[in-house]
Parts: sequence; structure tokens; C-alpha cells
Amino acid sequence: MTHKTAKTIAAALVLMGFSLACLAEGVLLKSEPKDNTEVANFDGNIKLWFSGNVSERSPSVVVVDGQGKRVDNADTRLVLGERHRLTASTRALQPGPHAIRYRVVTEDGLIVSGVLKFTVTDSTEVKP
Amino acid sequence: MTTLKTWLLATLLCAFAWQAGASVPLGGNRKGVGGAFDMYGCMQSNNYYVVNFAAYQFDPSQTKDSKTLPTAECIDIPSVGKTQITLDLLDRDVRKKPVALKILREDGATLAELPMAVAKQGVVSVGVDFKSPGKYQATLLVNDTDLHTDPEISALHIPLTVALVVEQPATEKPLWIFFIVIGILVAALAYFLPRLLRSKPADA
Repeated sequence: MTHKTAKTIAAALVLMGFSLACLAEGVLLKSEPKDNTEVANFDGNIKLWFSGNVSERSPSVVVVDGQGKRVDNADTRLVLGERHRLTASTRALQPGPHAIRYRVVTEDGLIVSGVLKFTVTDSTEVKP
Repeated sequence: MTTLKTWLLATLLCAFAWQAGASVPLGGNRKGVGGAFDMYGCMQSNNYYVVNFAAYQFDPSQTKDSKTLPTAECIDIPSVGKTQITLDLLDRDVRKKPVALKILREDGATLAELPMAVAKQGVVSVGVDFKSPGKYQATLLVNDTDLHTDPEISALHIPLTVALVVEQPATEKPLWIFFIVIGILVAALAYFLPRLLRSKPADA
């Protein structure tokens, strides 16, 4: 690799990082449980972190089991901060596939929503 | 230099692609609930899905002009007659799933129905002729292949009124009434207070 090529790649990487940092609009940064993972000893807590200027308008989390039956406690809570956090809790989950449907709305009127999937590998005990 | 240009272009494209995939915009400055224009438009949601609702009515007395677009009404539709009900599916994944739309009368009778199908461009639209004023309902059903929930359970029900005068909630009554009351009080004080103060030394 020549010196010039290395400089070009470095500049591109810096620019790419800058571009991504400039994404002020809402993006799902991470989740617990993670998407498409197997979970053992699930504590019944769903947590999703978002970037951007998330508003308090219509946040939502729904958790369903493999048969589409709702298993969350309908207690969605949005915590606004440096990294906005959307939380919900579930009942004790049976082993098997589960799905989370989430949604937040940004101050700029953008919808950030989607579906995450996870599989519970053992029966869960939800702490009171 | 050409390499740098290529990298810059690729970077910008990556950034735009990520941003486009991140979120879906609402309907812009459209009429919201209550008739006022709202940046969020006429957003309707339940725990599962979110849509932007619009009802378009065409005035038969008005000459057709391709340049003037009909106003997008929210859930309080001003008059009876032929109406185009349109839902923008704001959940990106729902745009790839079969959806159905029903317009129901208050007694549950179906006035119009769009069968279950994937909505091209993420928009579902159905024409309905509202014959009489009253309460109606638009119901969106989603065959959610990720959740496997019965569409009737996750259905988004949107209550509609047609040609009904909607009473404003007490909290939304115009602010100017408050200001008029304050103005009258201030004017009364400005008139009576100096006279009261002036009359006191005379009495003494």
C-alpha cells in the first residue's frame, strides 16, 4: 500500500466517522436482549437505547411469544437523557422464540420503529 | 485524487443509506387532531403500529384544477360525500407485510374494504361514500409475520367523525378568552383605582 493510498483511506475513514456522528436523527443504538440472540437467565427487563432528539410522543414496546401472545406488562417507560432509554418488563417467559416491537418518535417527526427477536433458552424467573 | 473522490462519494452514500434506513418521516405540516396544522400531521397509533391518516374530500362544485391539491383532513371529516381515506404506513417493516383496511359504520357494518395485500409505496388508500353524518371507524389490520399476533388483536382502530361539530375540550378552549378577562380586569382597575385614591384625601 502506497503512502498516498493510506492517506486517502485514513481521510475516508475519518469522514465516515464524522458523517455517522452527524446522524442527529433517532437510531436504535443497542438493545437488551440483543437482536437474534439466545438468552439464558432472562431477568424480564427489556432495554433499548436510542440516539437523536427522541420526543415523549407515543413511545411503545410490545413483547410477544412464539404464538404472538403478548407477554409484556404494558409498562413502557421512556427515560430521556444523553442516550435515551426505552424500557419495559415482561412476565416470566417460557423457553422459545420471542419478538419485541419498539417505537419512538423524534422531535423532528421521524418514526424509529422495528422488530427485534430473541430466544429464551430456559424458563425465566422475574424478580419482583 | 480520483480515489479520494470515490471514497468521499462512498462515504456520503453510506451515510445517506444509514439515515434513510433509520427512520421514517411523518406527514409534514398537515392537519392534526382538532383541525390545527401540526408538524406531526394526523399521527394515529396503538401499541403496535403507527400511521399518518388523511381524508381527502372533493368538492363537486369546484372546478377541477390539477394545480390545487385537496386538503388532507384528519379524523374529523368536515362533510358527507365521497372521500378518499389514506394511511401512510410509518413503520418501515409494515411496508413489507400484508395489510388490510376497513371503513366501518358505528353499527359495525363495512362501508369499504381493501383486502390483505402488501402496500406498494407504503400507502393504503380506499374510497368511501359517507352518506350521513355520524361516527365511523377506520381499521388497519396487519399480517405481522414477525410477531404472529392475530391481526384482530393488533389492529389499529381509528375513530372518525363525519360532518359532526366536534366540541373542543375545555383545556383547548381559545386562550384569547383568558386574555380578554385579564384585559377587562386591568381596564377596570385603571379606571377605578385613581378615583378611589383621589377620593380618600377629600374624605379626610
